[in-house]
Amino acid sequence: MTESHNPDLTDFRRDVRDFIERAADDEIREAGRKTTSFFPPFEPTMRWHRLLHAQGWSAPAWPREHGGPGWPVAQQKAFEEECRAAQVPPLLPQALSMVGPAIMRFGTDAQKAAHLPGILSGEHFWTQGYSEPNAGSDLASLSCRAERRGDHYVINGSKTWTTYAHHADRMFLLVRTEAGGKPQQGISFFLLDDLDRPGLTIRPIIGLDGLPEQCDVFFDDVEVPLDSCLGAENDGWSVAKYLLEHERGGSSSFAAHFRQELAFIRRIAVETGDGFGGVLADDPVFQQRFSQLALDVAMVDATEVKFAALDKGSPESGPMSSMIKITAMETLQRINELAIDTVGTPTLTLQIEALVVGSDTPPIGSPDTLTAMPKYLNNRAATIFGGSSEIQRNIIAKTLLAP
Amino acid sequence: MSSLSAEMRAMLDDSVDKFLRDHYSFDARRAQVESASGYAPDHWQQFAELGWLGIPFAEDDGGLGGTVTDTRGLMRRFGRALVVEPYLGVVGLAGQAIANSANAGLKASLLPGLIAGEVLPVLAWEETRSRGNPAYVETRAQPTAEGWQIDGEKITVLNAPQATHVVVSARSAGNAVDDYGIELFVVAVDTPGVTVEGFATVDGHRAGRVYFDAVAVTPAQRLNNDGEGGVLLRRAIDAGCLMLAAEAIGAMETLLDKTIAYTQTRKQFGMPIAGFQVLQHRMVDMYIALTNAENLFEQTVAEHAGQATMPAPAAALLKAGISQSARYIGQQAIQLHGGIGMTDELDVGHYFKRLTALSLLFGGADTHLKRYWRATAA
Repeated sequence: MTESHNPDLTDFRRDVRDFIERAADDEIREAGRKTTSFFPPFEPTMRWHRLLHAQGWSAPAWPREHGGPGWPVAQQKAFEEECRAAQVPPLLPQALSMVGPAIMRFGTDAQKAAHLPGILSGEHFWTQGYSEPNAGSDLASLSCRAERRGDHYVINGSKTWTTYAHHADRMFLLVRTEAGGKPQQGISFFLLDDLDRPGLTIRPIIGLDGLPEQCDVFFDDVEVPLDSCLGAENDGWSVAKYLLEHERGGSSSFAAHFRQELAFIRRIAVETGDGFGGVLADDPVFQQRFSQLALDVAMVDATEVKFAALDKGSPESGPMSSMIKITAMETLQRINELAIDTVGTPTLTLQIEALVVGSDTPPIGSPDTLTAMPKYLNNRAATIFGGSSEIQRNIIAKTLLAP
Repeated sequence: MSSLSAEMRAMLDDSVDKFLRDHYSFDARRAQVESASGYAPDHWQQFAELGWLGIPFAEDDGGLGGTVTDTRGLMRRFGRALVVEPYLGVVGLAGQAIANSANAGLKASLLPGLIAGEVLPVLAWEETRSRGNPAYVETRAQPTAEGWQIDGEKITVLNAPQATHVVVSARSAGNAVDDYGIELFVVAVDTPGVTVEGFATVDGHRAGRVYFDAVAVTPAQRLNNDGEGGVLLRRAIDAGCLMLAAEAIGAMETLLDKTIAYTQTRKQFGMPIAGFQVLQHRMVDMYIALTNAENLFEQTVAEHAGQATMPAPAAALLKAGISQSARYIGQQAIQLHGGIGMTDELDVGHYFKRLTALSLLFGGADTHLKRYWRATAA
């Protein structure tokens, strides 16, 4: 990205605002306000995805040849900022930001044609099958296996932390197609275009926030076609690694998201008493914590911009994506913690009903304070999923301390 | 002020251990949390029969003759088992406000019933703008011919939906932040003009907002002498902080034990994850946080057990320290458990949520550090 390719974005930003104003209905906006996770309320978010697609804006980071708008990084960022400011729900990342780019990079022409249009349009939603009960941080030890039998593979085993599997119609997963050798060898990356198969069971898992976001998926002699592999058979680890780097950094704009969260906290602090007749926003301790987080977000922003301009195959790409993951997720957790401390004890009220999009149950207390605790609880997972902070530090150490 | 003998406390601790072992599995607790009342009334009756509801009350009032510090063994055990019965709110906050009252008639009419498990008073002190400062009271007590009329709104009233009576702070004089001019009244929940909006809290407990709309009270319902309810209120909340600290220590030690046990069992990369130095250091840091908090608690108890009120600086530092260690240990327990720690199914997340609540209740760390400064600044 160079400045000469960077058009004046004022008009563009206005177009985005106008479009959102016109296209996002009350339910979509409500879903945005009630988003308490990286995974917003499913139905209204997918509807918003399809509306954005009709405008050609569903995949800002995708190249033009696959139906993206071909925007430079600065324009993508501006788009993200406008969406966040308007509080529409962020689009679900699994298909658009994770498996989509992997299919572009590793897919055959037939796979690209079969999967990319449905991802772009929001017709299909994909869930990610990576972790297993005994393969979390040590992902390469996974044991869910696929065996060739005649003209298909047969899958046996289980996957866990498959986000929104109960909403998904497609799934990408890692399976073991060959035993022996190094753990990373013999793993294949599968694309399942139909989850309604005999022997496949999906069980939602209730999280700390009381909501079913994650799932267990069980495979009992599930037959899938032989052309399910993305990339070569037994070489799925290369695909998985590429995709994890996309998941960890660069594929979404954390900074725009976090600035919105900070703006939300500031709004509450201006209205919240400090217990001595003033407001919290005038309290120096609050100001210090808030401004420290503004600094942390500025760092996230700067590193994200740097990462977006990197070639994803380059040697520094892996460690930098880990660095973004650590910095961004730990910053988010501190933001969420400041939010519950700012709201105070009203965050303790359990309001699962009021959080449902379209609910008749009114919030107890200020509607602004409804989401602080669910975000705090849900985002404790942010330093666990996609490779824990401990694993990310190991990745960076390997490069930094290499002899 | 006297305290219970070591023998008596050991006996009580044993009875709590036995009860929790027999009746308080995690599944049994879950059933209570999901029940309509949010706790088991028959447990509460057993608490009464076992003498637990009388621990911090004088023998003259029908209690065991102990003080608030004598509940520490019980509260710590309640923390370990995540007990949801309204002990902290009823015996602690409201019970202490009544027990230390100058109104002998009210004490005589309420305490025997409280100790018998029939009367459940709760303390309504927090307001939307009070942020952990009990002296901040906007709720009005306007003089009338028969007494006062109360108007206002209280938030996060612990155990409000389970209460028979509400002890409410209201201002008869001065500005919202003045120490003087605060009255504490006892009002039955079915009094005209009192509305309780009850709800569940994220930690499996119950609380509520309580609205007072032209509620008439008489001098017989007032716990304090003219305008001096603030002292009584502060003392009751500091007693609550002490009990909360003991509960938090129990929850933290259980969470640390569970985390150590899990990391010794969970294998990744061909070995138990407890073998990785980064996790060893993390658990050592959790241990240090717990032990320092526990030592501060024990020292605070030892130095102030016999005093009518805990000095503000000591109370403030204790609550701030407990809030901080509760946050750290809760967060790291989830992190070290990984994905499984994020599930509703495993008890670890429920300890984390209780510790999150305890860190916020009665003022968080920032509030109490500010209180320390104000209490010690010349």
